[in-house]
Amino acid sequence: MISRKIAAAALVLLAPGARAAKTPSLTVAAAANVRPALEELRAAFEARTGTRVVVSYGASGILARQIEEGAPFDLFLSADAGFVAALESKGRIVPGSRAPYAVGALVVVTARGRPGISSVRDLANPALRRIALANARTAPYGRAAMGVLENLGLSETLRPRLVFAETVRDALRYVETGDADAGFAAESEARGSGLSKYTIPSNLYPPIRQELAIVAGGAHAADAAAFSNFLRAAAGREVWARYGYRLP
Amino acid sequence: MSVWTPLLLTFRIALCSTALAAVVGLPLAHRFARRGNPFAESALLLPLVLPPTTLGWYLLLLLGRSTALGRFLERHGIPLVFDWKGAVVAAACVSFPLFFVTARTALAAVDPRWEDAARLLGASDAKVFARVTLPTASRGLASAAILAFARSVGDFGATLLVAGNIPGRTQTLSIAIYDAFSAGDDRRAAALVAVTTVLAYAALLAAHRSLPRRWQ
Repeated sequence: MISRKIAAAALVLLAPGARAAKTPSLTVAAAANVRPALEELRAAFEARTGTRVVVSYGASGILARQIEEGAPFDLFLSADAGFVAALESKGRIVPGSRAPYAVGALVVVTARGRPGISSVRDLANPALRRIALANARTAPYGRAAMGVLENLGLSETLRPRLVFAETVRDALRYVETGDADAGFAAESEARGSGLSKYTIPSNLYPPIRQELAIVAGGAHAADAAAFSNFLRAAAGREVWARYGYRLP
Repeated sequence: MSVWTPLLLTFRIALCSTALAAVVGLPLAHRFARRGNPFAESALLLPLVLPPTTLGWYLLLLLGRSTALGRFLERHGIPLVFDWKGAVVAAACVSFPLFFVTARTALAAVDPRWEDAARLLGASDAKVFARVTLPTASRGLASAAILAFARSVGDFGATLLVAGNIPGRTQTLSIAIYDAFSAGDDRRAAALVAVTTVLAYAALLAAHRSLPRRWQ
């Protein structure tokens, strides 16, 4: 009897109508650093248009690789223009759909109870034993952070203390939980964290120009174009600016 | 997105992957139960010790959209990469060794004299397997399936590489936990962790209870 019940439950689960979720109307791949701002924008867009938006957050390099492999995304919000350009050269984005939407800013945050800093050089303080940053190979903010350390001649000194996270968001989490003493984060996310932060002068790293593009072959190109326009229109720009991004 | 969405998806993927592991694993376990082959069996057990990301990499090399097999499957309406069906294949590969090794032990423990007696009475090999071997080993085989199910529930690396992290489509419990942690959504992460722990514990308990008494 029990095995019959289990079999019935399995059949219900596996039945075509029992999909775990409705098929989303628009699937977006987005860099981890835009999550707070994009969640607000997504809700506003859904309320205005009734179009459901599902977002997969991750490191831009990994998302770009997934799109290259044919992941079924409609729109890609990269933290770096380079990944979008690479996809364009491979024919994986809709021609002419590339557009900048924000310029990121890099900060250093320190964990609660650890000494704050007033210059990147203060990271050499031995009390800051673990310094988190995003993987420089897949995350533009990680690349920018490594660039700052190299510009200041600190990369070799600090290397044994560096802890690499998959995304800039994960680096911030390590500092929030106290597992890392300090870390490089996106200004947009550090604002809401309540941690002590130091904004790195923008002349120490190349601008983090964040670009979006519509993915070729996506099932919802018209919705993707509408969302792309919404993100770059006046209301969208106001949200990006409020979360600490500079505007392109 | 609620906790139920990744939970139901994980259940669905784990059920299908367990079925897949059983369909492939049962004949192989039967084949090696009586006559071992260390070379072949070591190859079958490899996924147990390889990092799941390595398995994911192999699967992408084999089934990716740019491969012949991947294109063939897609033409026939079975897209695997970045689809829940891809997560099924990834979870089946990861859980296969647990099914295989437990099922092989269960089948090896069946007294060959009973099978010989059935053959002497005129039963074919297929009938001996269906009427004698399978029922005798059923508790061990149920254990094998439950362990494979539990392992499928917990997979992260292979599933992430093959199926990605798309909420509602490929975001399983383990990936949803990582995503919630990454987002700083500790309440959601804690709820997902609790659900996963209960599910895995219940599966292990069921596996233990289904084992023949002398194995417990």
